[in-house]
Amino acid sequence: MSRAFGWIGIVLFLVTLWGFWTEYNREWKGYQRGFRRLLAERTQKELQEARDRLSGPELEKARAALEQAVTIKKENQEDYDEGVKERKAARHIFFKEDRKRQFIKSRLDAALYRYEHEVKSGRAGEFEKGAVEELKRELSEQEERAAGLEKIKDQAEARVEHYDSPVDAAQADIGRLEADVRRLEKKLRQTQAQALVFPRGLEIKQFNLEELGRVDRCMTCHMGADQPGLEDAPPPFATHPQFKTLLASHPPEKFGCTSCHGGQGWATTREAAHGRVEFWHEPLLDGKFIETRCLQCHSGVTQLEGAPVVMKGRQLFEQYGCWGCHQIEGFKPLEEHRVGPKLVSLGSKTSQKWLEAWIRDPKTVRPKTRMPAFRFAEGEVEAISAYLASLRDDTIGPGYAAAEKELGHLSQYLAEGQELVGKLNCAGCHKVGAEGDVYAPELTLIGDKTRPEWIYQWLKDPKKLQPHTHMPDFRLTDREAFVITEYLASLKGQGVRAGLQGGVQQGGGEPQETLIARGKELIASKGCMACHEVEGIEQKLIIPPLTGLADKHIHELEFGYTRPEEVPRTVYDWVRHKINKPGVFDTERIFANMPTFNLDDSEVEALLTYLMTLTEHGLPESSRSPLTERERAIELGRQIVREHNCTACHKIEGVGSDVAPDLAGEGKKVRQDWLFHFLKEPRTLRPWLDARMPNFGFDDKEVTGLVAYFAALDGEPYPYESFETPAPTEEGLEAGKQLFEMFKCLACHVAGEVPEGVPTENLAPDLTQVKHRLKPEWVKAWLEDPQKIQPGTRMPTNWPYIMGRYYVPPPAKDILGGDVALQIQAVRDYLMVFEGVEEEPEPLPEPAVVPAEGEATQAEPVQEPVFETQ
Amino acid sequence: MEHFIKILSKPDNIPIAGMVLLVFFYTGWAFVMAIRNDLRIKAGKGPLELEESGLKVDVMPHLLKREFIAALVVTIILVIWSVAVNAPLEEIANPAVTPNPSKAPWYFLGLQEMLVYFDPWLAGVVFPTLIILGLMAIPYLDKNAKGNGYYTLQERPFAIFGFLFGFLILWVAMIFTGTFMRGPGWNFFSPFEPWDVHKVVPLTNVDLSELLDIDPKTPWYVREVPGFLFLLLWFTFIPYVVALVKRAFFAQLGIVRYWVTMFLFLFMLLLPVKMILRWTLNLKYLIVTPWFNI
Repeated sequence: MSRAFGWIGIVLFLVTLWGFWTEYNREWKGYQRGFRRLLAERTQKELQEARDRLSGPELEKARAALEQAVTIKKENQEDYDEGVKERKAARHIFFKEDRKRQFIKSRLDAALYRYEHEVKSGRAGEFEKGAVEELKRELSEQEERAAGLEKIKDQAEARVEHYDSPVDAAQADIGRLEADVRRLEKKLRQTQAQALVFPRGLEIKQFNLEELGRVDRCMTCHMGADQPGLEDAPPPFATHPQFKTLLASHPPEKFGCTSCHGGQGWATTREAAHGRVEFWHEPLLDGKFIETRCLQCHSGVTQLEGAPVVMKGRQLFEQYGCWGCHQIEGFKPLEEHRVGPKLVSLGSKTSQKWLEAWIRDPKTVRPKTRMPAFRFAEGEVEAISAYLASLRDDTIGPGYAAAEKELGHLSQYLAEGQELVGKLNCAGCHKVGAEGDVYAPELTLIGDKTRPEWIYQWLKDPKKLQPHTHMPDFRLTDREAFVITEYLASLKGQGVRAGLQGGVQQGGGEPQETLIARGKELIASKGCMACHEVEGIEQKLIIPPLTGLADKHIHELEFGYTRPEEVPRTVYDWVRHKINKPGVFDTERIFANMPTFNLDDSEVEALLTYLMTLTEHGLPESSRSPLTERERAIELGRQIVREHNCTACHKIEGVGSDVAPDLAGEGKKVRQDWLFHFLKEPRTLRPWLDARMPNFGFDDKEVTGLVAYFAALDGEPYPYESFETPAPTEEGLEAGKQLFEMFKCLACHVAGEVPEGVPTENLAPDLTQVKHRLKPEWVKAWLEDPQKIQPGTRMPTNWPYIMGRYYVPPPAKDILGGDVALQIQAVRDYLMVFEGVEEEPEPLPEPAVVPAEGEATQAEPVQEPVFETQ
Repeated sequence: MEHFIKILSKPDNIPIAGMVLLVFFYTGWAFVMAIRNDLRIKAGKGPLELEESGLKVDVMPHLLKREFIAALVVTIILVIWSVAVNAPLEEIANPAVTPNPSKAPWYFLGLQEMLVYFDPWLAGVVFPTLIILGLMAIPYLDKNAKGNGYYTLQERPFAIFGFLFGFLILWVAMIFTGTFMRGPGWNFFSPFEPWDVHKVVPLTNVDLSELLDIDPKTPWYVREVPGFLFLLLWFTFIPYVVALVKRAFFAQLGIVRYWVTMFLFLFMLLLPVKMILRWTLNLKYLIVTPWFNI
């Protein structure tokens, strides 16, 4: 029995020790001890470096000085000792007399009080006045005495100081040089004391963020994350890699760590905190997926610095019309009509056979199309095509027929049409052959698809056929439209695609009527209406909304026949596979109606990243930063610009094409009322060019959005702008006119009518427009230095700016006293009232004044835009 | 097998597995003692406990020493358990999401299992009440004086087997089933089957009246006559037959005790009967009324 006691006692003791051992060995405690060792080691190293730095000539010098000072002091020890004695005596006497002075002073103050009291109580101060006078006299005597004694004391002190101060100074010098070492020595003692085998004060460090419902203990191990200087330390001790950029604007005391990184903030082991562990649905986000968290707060924007992937995903979601089927709470596309064209008059536009090929697999017909491929059962494609081909519009055709009758088919039209297509920059949106953008449908083989009647009608008035189309109206003449039609209709393919024209064989002998009726049913049940409007058919498909997709429990998702090795059981992998191949999780009981979009890998990842932002456990409103008025205006403007592909021709915010003017600084340049009307109904600014700003048919919301956008980009006020009102004097206008003529502005600029016989590439914008169009301040800045506003412009700098000052060209020396500022103002004022000139401008396309600097840019223009600068 | 081990070794299932083992160990131990005594009684020697009652030792140190060792062993087990096994925390509580499967505390899993076969008012109110009342009534119903202070089987077969059936089969076994064999969706899983949340089982059940092809539109008091008849016969006919067969038993208890005993016993048997009817005939309810279903 006693032996049993003994054994059990030993076992209990060992078990208790084991308990302590596991407590000592907890993962985070190990990391904290490691971090403390690291700090001690680094301090040791720093100290060594500081010591190495120390042994320089400067220190040698300071030490020599000290030695010398000490020697001098020792050599004159007697004198020094005597001085010390003298100083002691002098101090003693001085302090004694000075104390006396203080006593007298306080007695005087008391007497003065009594005196004042007497005066106030009406007793005229007879009694104390004598005492006051007496004390005043006493005080001045004593002050004199003390001052004399102080001088003696100072002399005595100076005698000692003579020996002491060089020693002190040398010691201070050495101390200053050794300060780093001393500091590091102290730090080393501290860090070493903390880095013992059984250190004190190991503790869980946490941010308790009640508002966010988070408790983040990450810093328990990532101890150096908020300490700059540890960038090169090994994980987990290194400084946050984005310490300056991200951590500064998102302080962890406010946002914690897991708000952005995900992971289990509570956890105190490495695996539980980072890994994909059971019961924790918010694992650490690696790599690109970390961007999903940006949108928790910055959800209202479509452009966000540092989060390109998720922004691309959001854009894809909008462009591919995912929102047509899948609703997301809070997601609203800018334009609420659907992404695909309205399915009308297709019978008048194309052939049933082409429709069949297209619907069966759009990507083989047009590799870059956004139209997805559906999974059809046999005979379904034929039925849908038959229905669509039955939609006809008889108003299409007469216009083309009339033009055809008038113009006939001439072979030169093809070249003419092709040239016009180039000049109008159709490739800005449409792909034609190898070149062009995929914003709008590819035109490479348009002749296989579309009938010329329809093309003609479309070019003349796109909105008539598709009220919501983004295709703008180019205000083409009948002839222009006809030659383009001729050219486009000639774009036909060979081989496989060539067979797309023509009729179809009746498949299976099904009568056309039942085929059409079946096609109508299918359109409703396949979800075509998510992207296309079809009159007279109602959507019959029920599709789950995507709100909260990222919160989905893994058990809510059906993985079908896939094995965990193929598709890991995470929401991310489920969504990724679903986008790539919608039917991947199909079983006998489940059929996915979703079509295949054939996105490339980076697009899938971007879209996935965006979808993974759809959580209902976002941060509370209070931790988000709302958009300012200006940011909102920019945001809306960017959406409109993207929606209408303005950057196909213009460069906006540094992105886009050089075909049309760069719109940088547009907000500063043009008047908002002019811009509003121009966007509403563009006028051709340079009628001598074929290229022109087309009419996009913007609605009021879009136009005001764009005007506000350009204003916001340049920091201009909106909607009430203010600009300087020119108040020209008679004299000023006269001077302006003189200069205007002298600089030969009209050699390039048009005034009213386009001159004939002048090479059009040398023409510059109409100056009669200035007063309606441009802001007076901008005109001034432009005249002053056009190169500053638009580098590479052919507008000459009329007042050359050389070596820090402006020069007045010699012929203008006498105008307005040769004052450059006044001259510029005069020209500006003249332009603001300029209505054109009576006489014909000189037909000389020669630049008037060629400044020294301007020469280079003029000889070889950096960019040669089709549109020239205003 | 790995799935079974996984479920068995879940931190919150460890005590249940231990409890099941302990219950069977002590039941088996009692059986061993009882059989030994039965053999002794048969041989005319009387139970062992009678023989040992004359031998006595001091509490200190003989008992206390053993108790202290037991206390130390339990301490060791608790220390090892608390260090080696982490607390079974699951997801952050979310009022909008119920865990699947949603399980009651282990000691209520027998009741939860009954909910599969009976309406809540029966499984949750009537049955527990009758269980407690029945257990309280046992001393007043039991007139068999034998087996006091010693283990025996032959002298009290009805008491022992009746209790063990209720306790082991209808209570412990149902806790075991509820813990280890009820998976997601409260579906039944055999021990070696992985718990698949998407498991689909046919769950179409019918009422007795439907089994008998009675038009569902007839008034319930006509439609449910067979069910009422079944219950009436269950609680009257069976006791009558048993009384005829087991005359001595009936005579020993007297009519009131006999009927109360039989009522409680038959009520207990309703549970396995309903379970068997469910498995074989897909029976949903015996009686369906606008207010309650049985």
